[in-house]
Amino acid sequence: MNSLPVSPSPAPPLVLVFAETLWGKLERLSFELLADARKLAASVKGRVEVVLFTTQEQRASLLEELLAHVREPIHLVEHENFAEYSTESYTSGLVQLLQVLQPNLLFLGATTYGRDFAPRVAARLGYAYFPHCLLSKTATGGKLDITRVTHGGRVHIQTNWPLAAPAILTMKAGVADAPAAEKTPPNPQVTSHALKIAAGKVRLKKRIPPDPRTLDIRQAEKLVSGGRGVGNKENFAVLRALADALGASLAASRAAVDLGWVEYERQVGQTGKTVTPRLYLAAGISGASHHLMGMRDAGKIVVVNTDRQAPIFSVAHFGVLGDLHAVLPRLTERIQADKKKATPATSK
Amino acid sequence: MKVLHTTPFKIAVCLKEVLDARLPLKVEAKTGAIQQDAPEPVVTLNPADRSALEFAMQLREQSPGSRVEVFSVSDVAGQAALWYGLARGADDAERIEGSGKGAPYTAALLATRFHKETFDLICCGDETLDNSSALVGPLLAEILDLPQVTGVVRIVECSKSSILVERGLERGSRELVEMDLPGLITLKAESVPWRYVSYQKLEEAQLRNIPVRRETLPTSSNGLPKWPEQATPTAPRARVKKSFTPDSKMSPADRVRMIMAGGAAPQESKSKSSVVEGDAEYVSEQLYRFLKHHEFV
Amino acid sequence: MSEQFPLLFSPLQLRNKTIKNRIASTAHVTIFAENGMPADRERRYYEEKAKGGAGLLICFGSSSVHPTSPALDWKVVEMFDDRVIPHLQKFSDTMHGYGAAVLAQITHRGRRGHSNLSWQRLLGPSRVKEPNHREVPGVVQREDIDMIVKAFGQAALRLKQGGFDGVEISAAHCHLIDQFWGPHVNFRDDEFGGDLDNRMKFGFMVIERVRETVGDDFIVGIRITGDDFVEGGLNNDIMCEIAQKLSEHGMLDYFNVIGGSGETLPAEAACVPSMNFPLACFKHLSGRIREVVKEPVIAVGRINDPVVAEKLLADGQGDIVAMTRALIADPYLPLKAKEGRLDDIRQCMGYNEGCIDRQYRGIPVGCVQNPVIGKEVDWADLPPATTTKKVVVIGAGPAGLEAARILKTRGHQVVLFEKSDRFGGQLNIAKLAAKRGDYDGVARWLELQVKKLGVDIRLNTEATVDGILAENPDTVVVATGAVPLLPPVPGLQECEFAVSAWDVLLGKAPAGNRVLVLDDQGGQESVGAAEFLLDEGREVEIITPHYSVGEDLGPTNKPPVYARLYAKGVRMQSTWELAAIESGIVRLRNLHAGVEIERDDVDVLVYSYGGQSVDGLARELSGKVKELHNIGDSYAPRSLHHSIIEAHKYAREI
Ligand SMILES: Cc1cc2nc3c(=O)[nH]c(=O)nc-3n(C[C@H](O)[C@H](O)[C@H](O)COP(=O)(O)OP(=O)(O)OC[C@H]3O[C@@H](n4cnc5c(N)ncnc54)[C@H](O)[C@@H]3O)c2cc1C
Ligand SMILES: Cc1cc2nc3c(=O)[nH]c(=O)nc-3n(C[C@H](O)[C@H](O)[C@H](O)COP(=O)(O)OP(=O)(O)OC[C@H]3O[C@@H](n4cnc5c(N)ncnc54)[C@H](O)[C@@H]3O)c2cc1C
Ligand SMILES: Cc1cc2nc3c(=O)[nH]c(=O)nc-3n(C[C@H](O)[C@H](O)[C@H](O)COP(=O)(O)O)c2cc1C
Repeated sequence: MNSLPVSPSPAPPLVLVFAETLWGKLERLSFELLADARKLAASVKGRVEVVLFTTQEQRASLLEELLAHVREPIHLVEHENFAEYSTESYTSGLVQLLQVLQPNLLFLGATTYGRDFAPRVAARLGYAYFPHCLLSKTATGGKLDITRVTHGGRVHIQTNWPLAAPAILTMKAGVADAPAAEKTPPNPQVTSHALKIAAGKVRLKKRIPPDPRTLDIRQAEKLVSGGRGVGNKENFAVLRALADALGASLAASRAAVDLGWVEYERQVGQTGKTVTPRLYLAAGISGASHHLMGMRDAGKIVVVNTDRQAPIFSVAHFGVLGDLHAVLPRLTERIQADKKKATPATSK
Repeated sequence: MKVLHTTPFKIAVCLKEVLDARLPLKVEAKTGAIQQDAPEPVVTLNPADRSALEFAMQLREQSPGSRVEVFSVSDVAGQAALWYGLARGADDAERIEGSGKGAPYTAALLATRFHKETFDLICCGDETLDNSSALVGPLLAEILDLPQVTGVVRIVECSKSSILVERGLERGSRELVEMDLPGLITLKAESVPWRYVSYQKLEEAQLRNIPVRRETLPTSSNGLPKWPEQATPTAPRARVKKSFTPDSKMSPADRVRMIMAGGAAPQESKSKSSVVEGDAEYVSEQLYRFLKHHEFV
Repeated sequence: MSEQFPLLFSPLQLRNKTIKNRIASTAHVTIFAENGMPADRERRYYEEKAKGGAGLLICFGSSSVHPTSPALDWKVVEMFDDRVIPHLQKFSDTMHGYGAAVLAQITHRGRRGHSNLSWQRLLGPSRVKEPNHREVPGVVQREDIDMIVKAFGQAALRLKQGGFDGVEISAAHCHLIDQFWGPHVNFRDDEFGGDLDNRMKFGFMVIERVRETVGDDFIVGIRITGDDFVEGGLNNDIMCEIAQKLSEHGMLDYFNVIGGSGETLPAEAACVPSMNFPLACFKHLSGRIREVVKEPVIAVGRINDPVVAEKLLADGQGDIVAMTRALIADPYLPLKAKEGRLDDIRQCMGYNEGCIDRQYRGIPVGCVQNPVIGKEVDWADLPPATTTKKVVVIGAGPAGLEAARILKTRGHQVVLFEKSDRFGGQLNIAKLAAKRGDYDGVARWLELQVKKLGVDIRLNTEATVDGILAENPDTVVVATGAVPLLPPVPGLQECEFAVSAWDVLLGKAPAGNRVLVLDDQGGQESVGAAEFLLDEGREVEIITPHYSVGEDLGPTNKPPVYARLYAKGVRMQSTWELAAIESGIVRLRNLHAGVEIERDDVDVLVYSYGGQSVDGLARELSGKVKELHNIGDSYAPRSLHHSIIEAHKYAREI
């Protein structure tokens, strides 16, 4: 066989996005990659498709979450070895899939997992590999403008790469703003691929969730935050107790930090950290604009304050007009009582 | 760290001397040269490599008879990293020179050495301070067909046949995993507290002659990812993060008003309707229900 | 090391010059120039900034490229005269001595101004007056264009000859270049009017001429607005288009992006955003411009804190941050930030009363917090006291605090009495008004400093003559401040529904829906109290004997206050004074016509006549102590600025 197949008009470039999961939950970063991929694809008249590795048990819930954001075709590889991350299973799965799909580009998160297996995939397939990239824009002549971040962010390396030569790009969180959830659920095509997935020589023993007490408040899912209204350093114990009961981290206003009640790392606001937890409970905080700017985008904002005029109420989803010293301990007790009920007594 | 069995280990550590990118850097606009804002370049042993070295030394201490060898792919100037390794107590050091530039070549050159001799454990830094590619470890493992765990933040236990480590994941989560040996791990910077190396030790190490191995790689780069030759360093230009911008079609007064309000019109109605008051018992119960309803408890 | 601010303290290359950090002082008129020349006062003022570590100094606001630029009102530097070159040389040598890059802003203000100072005719692209100055300009002719373009080139060349590193062309605040850009100003039908490319032609001619004249080894930047906030003007969409074209043209080295424009009162107020605006309020504008240009962008607008600045850089909303007023309040901000001494930074509150609101009135610039500003020649150094004295300071308002700080720094032994439980005096009341939460910044800083210095502080201690004498002081400084003044209006004292503006802010207003506010003081008191009551849902009317409510509020403070008051439904009437109150009826008198009206619809009467000195102690102590000074409001109720300057002055001399 020496006659080359007659190639039809070249297919539009394909940009694949690897939808990463961490412990059975989709990483938000994947949606940022998707936004970036869409922008890029639009500029080269290409198409975007999404890859998901999952197990049978998780398939339904992951797919549901994915479908809220994705209108592009989805490639699904389901295998019991994907119950946990392993370099070998992920590498072998992706290598086989890429051989089938022949993409021009693959976007992955520059996460621990992404950085772990993507280099091995690139090596096995002889793809180009660009670690730690920023938003890619296309340049003229079918060449990709790629910016890599090096030297701890102090240098950017610019490269031109032909779109025709397949490449893997890993990107850090924050490359793009994730697209909003689709209003009407799109119904993209979902293709399942049955592949042989290798098992590796590394076995998961235990998952260790972050300790809310030491977690960076920017990464916390829930925050209990206190201000000058807490009264003194000792009273912060009330907030800590509530935080522990909720599995939340402790945060504070600048007033509380300036008074030395809470360490600076926990300050929320324009001269502190900008936080976007799912829950932000603000107690004894008036809500100066400097503070609001740092927490306004939290999912649900709960306020406990004795002053109905406090500006913080203007951003609250749920407000309590009351003394935090009376309200919070009761709330903590209530949550603890609930927990006891939920975990049946084992000792008799 | 706990060490089971007392069979001696053979450990390789890969080291690199890097420009200290924690100091202000500047990229010369015309030449693309990366320079520090200092009269003399300040170099350092890559911080993550230091963790790798320190871990290897601790393992050797707890397991008598073990050997630690340090390697570096570099030119002569880069041998300072090896001196440091020796000063810290490594048994042997070797510098490797070869053609090609970039992380894949570094991995391939290191692999030529490890093809000749098997180590129980290869330890690398997770990422370099300069190139920040996090590529050498996984590629080396790939070429040598070894299992790997990258991004290690803690070593829990070590035996002749396996190692138990924690790897750091996103947002403070971690995972405890067990890997069969021989294998490769990469350690994160500052994951192992390091010990002070005296100046005297360093001076002694500098007197030692470090052997150089020159390797040529096969021209076909099979089994390696492609790595761009042409790359231009530039001063970083951060991506513009989207921030609230009033629509140009709004009236000037409304634009200014929205900017003064920090991007949001105050939501009077929302707040008025959702504030509860009353005795502490009642309001805490309401608050509890709100949290419950939104699945925060 | 500046671990906390890696971006802020990273160098940046601008053409042939490396700027050592990302902190810039942008152009501002100081009114320090003498006969149009930047002499010692100006130089010493900037020297402090250079010493303090700022990387980029863009000096001399709006300096004129040509005598036809109507700028005598601001006494700007006259860059059209070769006389300026030796001054520039001395100036740039001084700044270079500290490693700062030094640029200057040049401009032609076009029709922004009046012709009645220089009697030079006003020029504009078309016969359209600027709403602010309201003088109809003549139309720029082709010869004028050539003349002005040439003048820009010559002015830039003088800077180069004077050792400067670069020049900034102003195309902001609606000066001549952006007057040409503006579809609301430029109605020409020649090659300089019509579509955007035509409207940009004049600006391009200027840029090209400047570049041609100064050559390749000289920074040429431009200042533009990101949104002028003017109806039918240069909004953000148009400005992005303009910026892109300027960038493609390829002759500029940076873009300096402000918000607002000099055209209208509200837009002018936004140019130097007061504390009514949030911090870094225009970062979205610089961000949008930065997306369409390849050159570095300077972000501007109430960036008063290194943490805010670092975040802005990380978010890509600028490559350099303007910290102009921040560096007026504290020229040593960069050094302090670098050393991690954030607490020691005297943070700009954004009140503007000491700087821009003076400049707009033609008075030299100062700072309400920093008494040294504008007086560097005499006050930049603080010599220690020759003989150490024991000094008792009474009152921990701004005056007492500043006095204590300086006295202690100079080596005196200082005891500070304060009868209340807190520092700040009246500022504790002033800051309760809407959007004035930052106003106690000066007291917060002073409090920390006197504590650090180890002043013997006695809170909750009312000073009495005996108590003071018991301390056996060499010197007593009385800074007991003021209380609200109750004017001798018949019936006011007995009136049960009358309350001072101060008490309103303290939440002590009597119940009642219909509120009449009498604004005699002319400053923030009355409008603050009015807004406080509007926010409580009451109906508020303000009357004043002056020509407008809040007569003395500066041009950057009045528009935001008016915007909120009117949006909240206030009614205002000028030229009426309070005549008397009789059995629940309020009588008002028109100042000019003398006619009186009676109002029986007033539930709450708020009066604002300013303060009355608390000077009992000062009088009693007179003759009983060796040395006695009465400073600040207890001498005469005036302003924060007075209190600080006076305190500093006396404390320096003791
Ligand atoms: C340049 C600059 C930058 C700043 N940056 C920040 C920043 O990053 N973050 C920040 O937070 N602030 C910042 N601030 C300070 C900000 O302006 C406010 O001063 C600060 O946020 C106030 O903190 P607070 O709400 O805890 O205190 P306060 O304003 O004093 O409010 C205390 C609140 O507690 C309530 N309260 C009192 N007792 C009780 C009780 N028993 N139960 C319930 N409620 C009670 C009161 O009603 C009041 O609303 C900055 C200020 C400036 C000038
Ligand atoms: C609502 C309001 C708005 C204002 N707005 C502005 C403005 O916009 N711009 C401006 O420039 N100024 C404004 N001011 C005025 C400004 O605050 C004052 O000019 C300034 O605070 C005066 O400072 P001071 O230190 O002289 O006196 P004060 O601030 O009055 O401080 C005097 C201190 O002395 C203490 N004291 C008095 N007697 C004794 C004693 N016997 N023993 C011990 N301690 C004693 C008092 O408790 C007080 O703390 C405003 C004031 C108010 C009330
Ligand atoms: C007293 C004063 C005078 C100013 N004069 C000018 C000027 O002549 N030209 C100009 O472009 N900007 C001028 N400005 C604006 C400043 O350059 C700067 O844009 C503004 O102060 C906002 O920045 P900031 O918040 O860092 O102070 C002036 C500002 C002040 C405070």
